[in-house]
Amino acid sequence: MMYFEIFMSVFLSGVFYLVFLLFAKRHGNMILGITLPAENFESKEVLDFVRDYKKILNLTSLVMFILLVGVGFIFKDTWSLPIVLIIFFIAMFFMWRVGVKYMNLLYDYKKANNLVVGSQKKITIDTVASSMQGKQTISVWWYLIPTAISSIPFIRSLTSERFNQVIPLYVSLLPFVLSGIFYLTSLTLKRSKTKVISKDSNINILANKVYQKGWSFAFFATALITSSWMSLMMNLTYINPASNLFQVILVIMFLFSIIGIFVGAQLKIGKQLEEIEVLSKESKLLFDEDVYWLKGYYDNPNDKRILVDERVGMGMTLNMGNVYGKIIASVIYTLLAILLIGLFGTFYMVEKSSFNLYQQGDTFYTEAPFYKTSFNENEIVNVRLINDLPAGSRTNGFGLPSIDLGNYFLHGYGKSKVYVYRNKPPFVIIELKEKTVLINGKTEEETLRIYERVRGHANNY
Amino acid sequence: MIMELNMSSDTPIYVQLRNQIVLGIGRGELDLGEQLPTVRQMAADVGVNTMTVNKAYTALKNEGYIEIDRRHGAKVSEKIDLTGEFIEKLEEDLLLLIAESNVKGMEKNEFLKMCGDIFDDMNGLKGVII
Repeated sequence: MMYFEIFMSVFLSGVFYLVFLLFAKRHGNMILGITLPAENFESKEVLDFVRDYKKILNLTSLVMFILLVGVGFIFKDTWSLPIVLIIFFIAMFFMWRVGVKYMNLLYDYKKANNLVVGSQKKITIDTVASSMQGKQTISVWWYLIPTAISSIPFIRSLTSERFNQVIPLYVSLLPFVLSGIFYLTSLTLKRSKTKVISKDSNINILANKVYQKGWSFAFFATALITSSWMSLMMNLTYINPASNLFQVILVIMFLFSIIGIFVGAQLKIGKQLEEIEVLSKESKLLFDEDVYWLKGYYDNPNDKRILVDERVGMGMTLNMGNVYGKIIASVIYTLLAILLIGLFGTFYMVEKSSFNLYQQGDTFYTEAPFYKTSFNENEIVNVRLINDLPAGSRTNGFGLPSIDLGNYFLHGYGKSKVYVYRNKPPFVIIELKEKTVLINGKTEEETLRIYERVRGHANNY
Repeated sequence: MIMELNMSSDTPIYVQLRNQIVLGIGRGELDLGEQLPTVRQMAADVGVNTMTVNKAYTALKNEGYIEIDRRHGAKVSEKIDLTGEFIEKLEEDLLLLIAESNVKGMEKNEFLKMCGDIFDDMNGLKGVII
């Protein structure tokens, strides 16, 4: 458990640091969200702003890491996860505000040096580059590869009953779903706004080609890695349902691969756009949209679009200057809050609940939130007390810091209903004709009461 | 062709779009037969509804400046004819322009010289067949 908490702290801190570090990296003609002429990137004021921003980022990342590790050691129950998320969101909000502050400082520098150019209420279109938009992404046929890989667990689940018991059909569809999501996201590239950075159409075409090809390849690579990893994990889980170090390493490798792809794409495309900026020096268009981003989000009441391209990187963001954009943002944040409160409320309820097994007539009933079961006394084959939990994997249910609840596949027992307080042995294992029930109480006395209640009905007695 | 649209102007966007394309053809920045962006792409680039772009393209098509093909999208017409309808509209527009210029004190020669200079700057007019 201690290693998992350290890993999560390192992972979250690492992601946090990378995301905000990219903001301070030069991307084409932009740094800290502000566009500048090439010769101004090496000026003392700009370098000072970037250095100060990075200092604050380094300190914030370190403090966040220490707090996250501390939470993991202090809070051993369900509260550790919401507290980790609260710390993470507070840190994100703080660094976002720091980013906005330095963006505005840099914009003031830009104004003071008469570097703000062009009319901010004009839209520039390059008809030649626009005509070629959407034709520079990688072919859809490439997605046949991740589709083929995704079909392996699906076909196995469909044709093998044993495989289906460990990996149900709806779970085996996950690789398809995720690959499909990445494919659909890559389609948004075809409909994205054409970048116009120069009066020379050839330069605009080149800039858009670099952007589209780069990101479409990144999405394809992600779909390929996701489908390969998920297929591999499902097959490994079938061979050995117990989690082991190798599978944990695979999870870590997968997460870092995905992050690596997106960070790598961002850096590479940014570098190529920088080189194109140099080419366009003689024919450069003079306009900028910096003023619409000074609040830390896109706010342009003159722009009728609800969704616009992200300032840095790939993706879309809402135009908060548009009334529909504001409505959509409010709805999204409200739904997110409801989801998070509901989720943690549910976890808390499960954490505080009690598991019990009682008898009415010749039938036994389990008492637990969401997952109840019942069985007749004639179905009982064997009843034992064990001190160590059998290895297995969860089909569905809750795997909280101190509780396992739900439907599991246990090594040596098969399909099982699990109701255990993980750190409170012993555990009562009730082997039935069709399934197994694994249960214990909050105390050893409760567990022994459950055991006494049921052991007399076992067929081996 | 690079064109600019002013989002805060009183002139509707579809009119600006129409005018910019006509000016582009006149200046030679858009060649006869040259492909134009699709309605969907133009709408995404301008940041307006596809209906606005459709309106501009339909007006251009009715006036003979562009052709629209379902499969290939819109392109500048290979041949742009001077029609009787256009000559009538031109006379009406010129009537007002000349009246305004003259009332404000502009001489006939000055007006004609201005027209001549603008005409000479329009590189694209050489390709137009009358």
